[in-house]
Amino acid sequence: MSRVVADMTKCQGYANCVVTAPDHFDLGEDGKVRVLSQALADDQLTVVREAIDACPVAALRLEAP
Amino acid sequence: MTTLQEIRERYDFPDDDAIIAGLDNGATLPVEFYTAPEFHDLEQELIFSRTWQYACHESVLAKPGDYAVTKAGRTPIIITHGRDGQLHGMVNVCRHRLHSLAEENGNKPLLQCPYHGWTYDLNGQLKTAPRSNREPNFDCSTISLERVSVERWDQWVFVNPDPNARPLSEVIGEIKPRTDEINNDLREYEFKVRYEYDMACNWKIWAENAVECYHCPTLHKSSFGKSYDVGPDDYELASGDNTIYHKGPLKWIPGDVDLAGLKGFRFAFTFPSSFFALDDYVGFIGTIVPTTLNRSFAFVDMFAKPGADETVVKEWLDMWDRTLQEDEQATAIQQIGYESGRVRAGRLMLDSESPLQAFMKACHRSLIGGA
Repeated sequence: MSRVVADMTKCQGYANCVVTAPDHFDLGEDGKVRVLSQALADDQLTVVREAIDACPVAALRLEAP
Repeated sequence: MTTLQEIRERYDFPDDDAIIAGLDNGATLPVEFYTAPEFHDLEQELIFSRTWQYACHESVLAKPGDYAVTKAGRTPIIITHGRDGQLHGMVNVCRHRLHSLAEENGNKPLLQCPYHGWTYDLNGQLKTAPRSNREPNFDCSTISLERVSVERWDQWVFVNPDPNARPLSEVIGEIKPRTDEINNDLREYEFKVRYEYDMACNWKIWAENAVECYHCPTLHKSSFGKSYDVGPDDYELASGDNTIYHKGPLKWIPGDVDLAGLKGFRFAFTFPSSFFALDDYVGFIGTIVPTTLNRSFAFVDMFAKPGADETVVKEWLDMWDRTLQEDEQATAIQQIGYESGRVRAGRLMLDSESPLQAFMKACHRSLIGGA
């Protein structure tokens, strides 16, 4: 199962991921990304890839199983 | 802001006592109220910035994350269904560079400005601003969207740009027993279509047209006036300080329909510009937005009773569109008459046009600074 991982040193709180894939990402109290569930089923990959592509500072990445 | 008194000194129309006496005796407001450019700003400030106006049906905001955009006067507004289950009304203007947060209704967990990405929670609190960690002393917790008031009137969501507005339930208390009945009947009606009208008249001319039915037997002789009894002994009118009510029986329906037992037409208007109505087949709700001094925009959401005769519903939706187009044409022609300046005030027929007097008094009361 693929996993989505956030690099908190890169996250600038653009929130594009939250707006693109609200079931997978949220903002924490610090204004940075929170990954709601790291493990992804195959049918969740498309929207999560869109969220990864939407991040202006490349703070999100997909790790293969 | 230019005051009513300053406008009066510029155009030399009657003083407030004379205007009130005139209204009591059946005169209309002086024509300058419809033609002097200063009135547009004055009305935005004293009327549309502090009154309740229709925004949307509650179904648009049914679940957390739902948001609806609307305008009350010139205030862009966004209403959200928060994660706390409550409706929140905010000015739809980002605190960064004043772009809107959204231009269309939708569902999102956060409100992200599409311009630079400032992101607010559904309560309007700024949560994050890109690169804010590079700004000394930048604190998101001190920044939030400006608030407006939002309240439900049964299934309808109303907004008031004033964050400290007098509660809608108080403003409409005088008409509530009647609208309880209307909204209870309307609750099951299903949304069909939104009609929009861009009108070449001052907003008051269109609102005045909406609140009287003296014109129905002539202007609407083949539309509204053909469908309902609009004579003075059949058509009921009632006016309060902020609201107006009409009720008229059905007299003609397409096809072979028995009229016995039908409730007929009922209409409710709340100052300054929102209205809803229904009969046994269709219902509608709408509002008027002043665009400029001599242009107005109106939208009307049309609903139909489930299971009602489809032929009648189709004919009725069309009848209402024809009626509203007839109003649009008449009010544009009135605007020309007002701008001629040759008639300083009209003369009302108070037995039939008493709601007009109430509407004009509410306008005047607002413009001299009263609630």
